Amino acid sequence: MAGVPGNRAYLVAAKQTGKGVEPIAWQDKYFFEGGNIGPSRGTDQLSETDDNRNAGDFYVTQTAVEGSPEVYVRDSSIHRFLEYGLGAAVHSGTEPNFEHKISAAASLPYVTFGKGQGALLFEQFNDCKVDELTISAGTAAPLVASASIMGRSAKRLAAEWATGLAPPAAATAAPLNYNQALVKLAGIETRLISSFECTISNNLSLQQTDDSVPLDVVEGTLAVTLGFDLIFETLAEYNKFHYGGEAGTTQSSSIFTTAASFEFSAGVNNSLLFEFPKLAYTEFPVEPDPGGGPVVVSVRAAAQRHSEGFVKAVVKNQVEK
Amino acid sequence: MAETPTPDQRRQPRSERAEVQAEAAPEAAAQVAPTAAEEPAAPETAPEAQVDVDENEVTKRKRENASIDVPELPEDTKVRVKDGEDVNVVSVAGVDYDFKTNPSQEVTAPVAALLVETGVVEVVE
Repeated sequence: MAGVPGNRAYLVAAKQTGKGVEPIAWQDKYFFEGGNIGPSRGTDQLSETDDNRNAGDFYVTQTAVEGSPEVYVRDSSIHRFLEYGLGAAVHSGTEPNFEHKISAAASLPYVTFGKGQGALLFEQFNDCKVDELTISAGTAAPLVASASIMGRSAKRLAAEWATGLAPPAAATAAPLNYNQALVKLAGIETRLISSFECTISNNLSLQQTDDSVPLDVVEGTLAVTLGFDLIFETLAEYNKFHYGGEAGTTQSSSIFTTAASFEFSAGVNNSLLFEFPKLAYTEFPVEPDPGGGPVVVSVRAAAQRHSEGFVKAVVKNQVEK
Repeated sequence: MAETPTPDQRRQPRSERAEVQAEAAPEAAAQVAPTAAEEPAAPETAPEAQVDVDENEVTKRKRENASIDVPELPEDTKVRVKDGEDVNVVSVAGVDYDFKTNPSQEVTAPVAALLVETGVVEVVE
């Protein structure tokens, strides 16, 4: 019997209406660009003396779900992944063009994920939440969504999902690409930025009480960070970080904040926009290069408290919700 | 509310502890561990809800609790989409609220708070 090829695998996902409520249909089907998701199993070892020097036996401490699947970002489904990671979405528009505004909420949805590996292994992961969601792209590269997932329980199916839960067709459109980016700092377009990495951290906790299956997955502090590579051509942003303003010459004791937006557009009605209303740079390293290459600054920034939230995402596509 | 176990009870396996409680207070124990005859039959479409005959009561209770939602508060807050907002559906905590079909809706207070947090929904005074 032949082995199972590793590249024949898919991921399906659907939000739940509550804890313990399994979905009646999958929302999307993705293919892995990297990463994985699976059942997790914590073990520990008994520690007691014996009549000999043999180490103690093992026992199970926790059974749960964990993983970090990575998928390409397509406008037809990224609004759902973002809703899993941020919590709230407002859907508007009319057929065939729709718009989805995704923002942070106090509660995240529970999500059921499923993984099919070849025609051999089918696993369903219930009561999951997205701990960390990173959307990133390097220069000229497709956008990738990497979701760190924590969940309560897994079950293996004897066969692939059927009828209502039959996996939908995966999107075939090309992923969004950094070459489609329009970047603005403080509302002004800049063409000096060559990469993008936005990380949404929900700092989840698994609560375990009297069973190996965790009782719940609970949201913690929300944090949003942004990273990008900036061609060091002007002193403007550097001065803002260190010297309090574009023309500053004295080190500032204040945090300088600015707004930023990254829009990736495959057309008027097919795009993904991230808006960061208030960012503070946290790292702005200008490094000499003995090799003589042009200086590129790997900027790191953190979203600051603002009436419009840490980050808002707007997705335009042909999907109603 | 379940009674706090005595020190002796704590040393007992949970399954035995439930039996002791059943002897001491049959009425109270009946609420904790319903008999098989009182339990609703498992739906045919959910075979995972079936319980093995040798499964102890504690395990069975945990399995049942895993699919029980927190009781919802009374639906006492009326919300609507703000004037000028073009909204079809608002999704919060995994639930879709269709404001295109129902421009104003009554929801629980916690849900209303989540909907208002999106910035496009307001509470009707």
